Amino acid sequence: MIAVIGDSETASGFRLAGVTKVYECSTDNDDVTRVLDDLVRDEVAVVIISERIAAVARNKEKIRAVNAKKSGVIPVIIEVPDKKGPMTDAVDEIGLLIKRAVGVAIK
Amino acid sequence: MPEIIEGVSPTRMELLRLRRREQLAVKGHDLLREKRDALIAEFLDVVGEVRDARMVAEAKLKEAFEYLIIAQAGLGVEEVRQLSLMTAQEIPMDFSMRSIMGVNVPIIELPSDLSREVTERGYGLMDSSSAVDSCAKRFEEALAKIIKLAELEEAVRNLAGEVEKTKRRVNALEYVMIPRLKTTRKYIQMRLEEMERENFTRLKKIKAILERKED
Repeated sequence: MIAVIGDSETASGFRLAGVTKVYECSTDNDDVTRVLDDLVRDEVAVVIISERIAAVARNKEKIRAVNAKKSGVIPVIIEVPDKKGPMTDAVDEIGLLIKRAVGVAIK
Repeated sequence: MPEIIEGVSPTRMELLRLRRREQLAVKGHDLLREKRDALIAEFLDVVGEVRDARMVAEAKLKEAFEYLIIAQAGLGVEEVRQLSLMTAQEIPMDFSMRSIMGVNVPIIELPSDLSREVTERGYGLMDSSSAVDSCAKRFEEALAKIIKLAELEEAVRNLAGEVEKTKRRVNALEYVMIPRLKTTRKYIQMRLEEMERENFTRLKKIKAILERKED
């Protein structure tokens, strides 16, 4: 089961691709945390979320909490850019993980 | 010089116990080190893939958004939205887990081709346009790449956590536990030898006294 949380463009696009669980959210509404709770309860496997929405402090916190709490591997939460392209000031989360685990940055 | 473990009495019993503990710690250290090396090798493999996967997925998505804008320009934003609401369809996927040295890594299997025929998408052909079709197609492709990326990123995240944990354990054993056990063992050994020597001179002394008495 795949779910998408994104702005209206992202939502329309993924709906066209056949995803059924699509939530239209904007960066300044607080539904996202509730939606995430619902998705965890419904055991959705993959949650695709817009970078710009995930970057909001409250949502970021929530995503971290969900990741820390899950016992198996679901839900897998993945951040994707929206129509404006990738956020330039986003921290490279994967890069940081690599640096912490191996001790050196790998490009 | 690492400190000795507090509260041990310099006895032979304690020495034997310490020796056993040290052997166990060394063995555990070796095993953990092997685990760490294997994990890092696996980790580096996945890391190599994840970078490419993200680039591909983002490029695909960017392309999909371009087509979406074209579709929206042709039909209007609201119309495209309405059409998209009609395309609801469950995507069949198989979700399972693989274990790499005790780390759970997701495996998501999608049908090899996510794209559907124009007629399968669910919206009417009358009120849509070919731009919508190509947009849907691009998003289907992007979705497949994103799912693949999700699988890889999750693997990286889980592996990184485990690598870190194992590294910490290896270091704790190597730099704290084992040296401490070693110095404590040496300390007890020295104390026992010292006691032996004390005893030896004591016996010599007593023997001398006894011999003097007999004379």
